[in-house]
Amino acid sequence: MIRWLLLILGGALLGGIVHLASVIILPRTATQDAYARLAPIAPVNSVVALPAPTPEKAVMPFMDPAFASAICLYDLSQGPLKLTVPVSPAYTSISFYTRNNVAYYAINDRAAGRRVIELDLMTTAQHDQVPEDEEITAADRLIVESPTPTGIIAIRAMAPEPGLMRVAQGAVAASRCATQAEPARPQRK
Amino acid sequence: MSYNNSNTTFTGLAVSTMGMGRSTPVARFWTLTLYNADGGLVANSTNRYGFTSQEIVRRSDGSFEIVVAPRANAGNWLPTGGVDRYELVLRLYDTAVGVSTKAGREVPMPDVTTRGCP
Repeated sequence: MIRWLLLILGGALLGGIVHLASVIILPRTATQDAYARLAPIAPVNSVVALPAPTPEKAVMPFMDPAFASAICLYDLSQGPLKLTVPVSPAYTSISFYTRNNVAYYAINDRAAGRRVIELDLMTTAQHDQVPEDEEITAADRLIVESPTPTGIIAIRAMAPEPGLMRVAQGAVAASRCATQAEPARPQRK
Repeated sequence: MSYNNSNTTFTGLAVSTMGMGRSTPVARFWTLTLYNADGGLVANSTNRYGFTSQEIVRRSDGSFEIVVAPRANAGNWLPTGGVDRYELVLRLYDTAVGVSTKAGREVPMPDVTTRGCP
């Protein structure tokens, strides 16, 4: 009797481990994730406006039709990225996702508190290379560290009324993301 | 920042009313959007897929009602396009700190009631 109970308990434990492991691994093995879906329409390191979702076609599921959105697939292997996003009259947000679709940073127009949101995206290694004094002098320079060398930046501008959609699309379309030259390393002689 | 409130699945034939009191969760904007089970917008004759907090018609006390129904209704009508099942997603944008971590009565959520088949 006890032997049977142990067997059942062991089986349940093993099943639980397999279940948890597959749930954790699944997002990493998914082939049709956001990056894979966007890669065919978006060149790396440039802002691409996404077409507004319609009942027939939407780039992503559950897109909010009240928003104009754009994405920038980034690759930091060539150097840090500079992102410039003009703020639309309503609500503007910028969200950062790793290659595995984990959101790691987000900022909105109110948090940024200025008309144009400007920030530098770099890996931890690139951040370490930034000369310290430069970082201090540019106190208003916003630096975001990316946990992965590639990933997705989502830029969203809200149109609270349909008539404001053109303005929101304009703000999103005027956004730029481009690779910066490698930061100048301090000369050591 | 936004977060999605309980994705609730409804059947398309029934008329659902969504009413919010004056005490909506504190957010700069919110949107309510109707999706099919795959997360796509549902085609309808008026090209209306959702409402934003600025678009809706409110009563004099600030409260409002959104009618989710296959046929036209007076006021804030969100057409279901006659689909069998749909999901309503309420998104709160730029919420006050703590809204997403609280639950229940601390954050008043809109009431959803089913009025029944017409």
